[in-house]
Amino acid sequence: VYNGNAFKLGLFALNCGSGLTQTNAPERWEATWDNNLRAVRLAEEAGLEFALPVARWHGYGGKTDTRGSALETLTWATALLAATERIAVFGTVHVALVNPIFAAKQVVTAHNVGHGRFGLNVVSGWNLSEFEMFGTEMREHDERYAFTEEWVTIVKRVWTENEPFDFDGRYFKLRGVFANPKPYDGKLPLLMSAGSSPPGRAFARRHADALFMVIDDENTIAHDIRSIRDGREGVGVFASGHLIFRKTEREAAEYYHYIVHEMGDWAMADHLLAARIAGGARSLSAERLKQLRERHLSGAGTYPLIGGVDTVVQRIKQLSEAGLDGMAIGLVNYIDEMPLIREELLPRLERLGLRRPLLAPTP
Amino acid sequence: VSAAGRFAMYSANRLKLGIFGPNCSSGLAVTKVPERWSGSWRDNLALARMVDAAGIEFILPVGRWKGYGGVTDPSAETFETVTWATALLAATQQVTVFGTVHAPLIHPVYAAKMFVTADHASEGRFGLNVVCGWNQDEFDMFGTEQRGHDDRYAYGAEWLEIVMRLWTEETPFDYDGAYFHLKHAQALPKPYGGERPLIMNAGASPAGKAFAVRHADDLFTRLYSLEQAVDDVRDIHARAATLGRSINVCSTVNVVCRPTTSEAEEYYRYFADEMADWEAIDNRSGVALKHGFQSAQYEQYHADRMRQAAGYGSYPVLGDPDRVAGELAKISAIGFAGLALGFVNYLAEFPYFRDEVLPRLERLGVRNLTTGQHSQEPLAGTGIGKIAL
Repeated sequence: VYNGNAFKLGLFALNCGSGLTQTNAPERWEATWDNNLRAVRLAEEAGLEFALPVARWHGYGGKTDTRGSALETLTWATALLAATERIAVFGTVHVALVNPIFAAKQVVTAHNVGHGRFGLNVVSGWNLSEFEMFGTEMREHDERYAFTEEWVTIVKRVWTENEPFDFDGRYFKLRGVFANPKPYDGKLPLLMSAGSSPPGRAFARRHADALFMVIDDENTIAHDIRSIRDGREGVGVFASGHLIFRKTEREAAEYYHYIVHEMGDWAMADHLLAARIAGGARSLSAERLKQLRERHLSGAGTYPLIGGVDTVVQRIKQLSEAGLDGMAIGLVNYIDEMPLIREELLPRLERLGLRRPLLAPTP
Repeated sequence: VSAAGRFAMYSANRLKLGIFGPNCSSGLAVTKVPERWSGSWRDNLALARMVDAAGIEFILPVGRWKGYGGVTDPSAETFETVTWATALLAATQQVTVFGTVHAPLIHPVYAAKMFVTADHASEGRFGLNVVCGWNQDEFDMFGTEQRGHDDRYAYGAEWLEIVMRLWTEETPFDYDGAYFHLKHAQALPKPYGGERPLIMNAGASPAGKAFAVRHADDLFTRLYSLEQAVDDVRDIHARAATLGRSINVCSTVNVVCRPTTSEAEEYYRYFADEMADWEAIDNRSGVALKHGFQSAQYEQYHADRMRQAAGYGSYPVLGDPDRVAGELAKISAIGFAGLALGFVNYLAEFPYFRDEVLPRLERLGVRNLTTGQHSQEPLAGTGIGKIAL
């Protein structure tokens, strides 16, 4: 993630069956371990910067049971880091579901295994039915961030402090806390936060190195990014997106029609929306959620990079000009789509100066 | 090669061998010798690859959250065992790697998915060592109050039942226990290959042993003396039989192998007596005493401080290669299916053990294969078998 590319790219949600797209197309993503390993190695070879998982504990039923199959993200990331050389891999952790002392040592382990390439995506959680699986009460929206604040404060102290400490918070009362080793090479893991509500942003302002946003309104992106960044130049702003593209506009339209309209799983898209609403995702209005039905089908409500390759490149250019540092993208199939990304998309981004070509591997 | 052929724990070797404790700085040895184990990731990775290539069946970590102080602060540096295991599994071919998990510190729904991920990343080579109770001063770090002794095992049984059900059940289930209340619990994927990870437990008290014989595939029991072990192994098998189960009895040994027995004994005296970190050893004992360590044989455990210094009270196997191989064969003959080995410096000492002791174990008929080639079918009644769901 620390390379010089102006617009960074990562794979998103590949630890979950079907990735971001609710389609019955037979080539939809199967999140086996072998597929994950292959996709991440291909992404690394192509020079992509990161892989970002989604923490999911159950599927959404329906025909394809999108994301019914999901690998746990910390162990997933650690295994990928052990099997790669350059790419950064994130773990996505629901803070309410794991003790911060446990998580802090897991993260340090992953960070050491990856020689510093591990990043932590901290999420407060929104999916009520998943919390019920744990018998864990979901707190009121604003209180979730107070809890997350304590959780992250503890984790950071575990990573940095050289003497045992007690912690007397509202949610945690800990005695004699101390852990070694520290994160790799004296550097802390990159902390990412996706909070977009006011308390979410306030939390991110205090703790996160990278902010992860849902692009809600295309017309106000530049303003939204400025507002999220809030003057902090060193902080990266990333967004989620999904890429459904082909070389020409016509091919892309046909492919999109096939994936979304012919093979789309609308019941699943609706289910996903319903789950979002049940969890009180206040950062998106209920009205907006309804409008996003098709976007939930094509990419779980993330930003659409859809069209011929030149259209996609133009969109990325606009996002970059608006101040976005990169995007985590979902693909219908993270292996099958990589050659096209490598041969058609990346060279165009390089020509625009948004990314630098990878050096040819030395023989 | 079918997946089954890659499960090293399922080798045909009568005596399975493992490496114990490399995820912790100082490993098992509470000693000031400068060559003591670093516990670094680099050394862990190099060791795992080395023992993987040598046909060793398993690697077993210790779940530790803080050091024991003293001069050397043993176990001050530890990796979390499930992520550690997953990384080692991704970097090896055939060895089984366990995670050692304190059930009270992690939610079973969370844990079940971690284990499955580790299991898939290794095509079925992950194993679970479940721990029900531990040192209260470590639990204090988590803000977790330890339950009463026997209650811990009731909690552990619920915890493990939930993990197992998530591994096997195809439809969501509600769970209403004394400790957990879950709605529509479900998880996909299931463990790799229609099997499930091995379950290991080291319960030593009456309640602990009862838990282990009911729930575990492998019971780790302390080996005090070969004489006593005969009764212990018989007792465990008898307890399991009353439940209609069979269980593999395993233990830990501390190995010092040198060209001559006197060299080995001299080194043992040096690192475990002359250079022992007594302050750290007392801290460890103090922790156990203060917080109600209820192993029935606690007095015996405590009596031999040198064994504690050498390897958590593990049974010492010292000598030249003939003697070490002979001792291991004797332990195997008593009925131990597997032994987890400690070395002062695993990386420095394992090559000699591999080159000199493993071939002797073959000649003694205790192990068939040392080159990493394993039969695809487990031999019935010869140790750790494949677990079909």
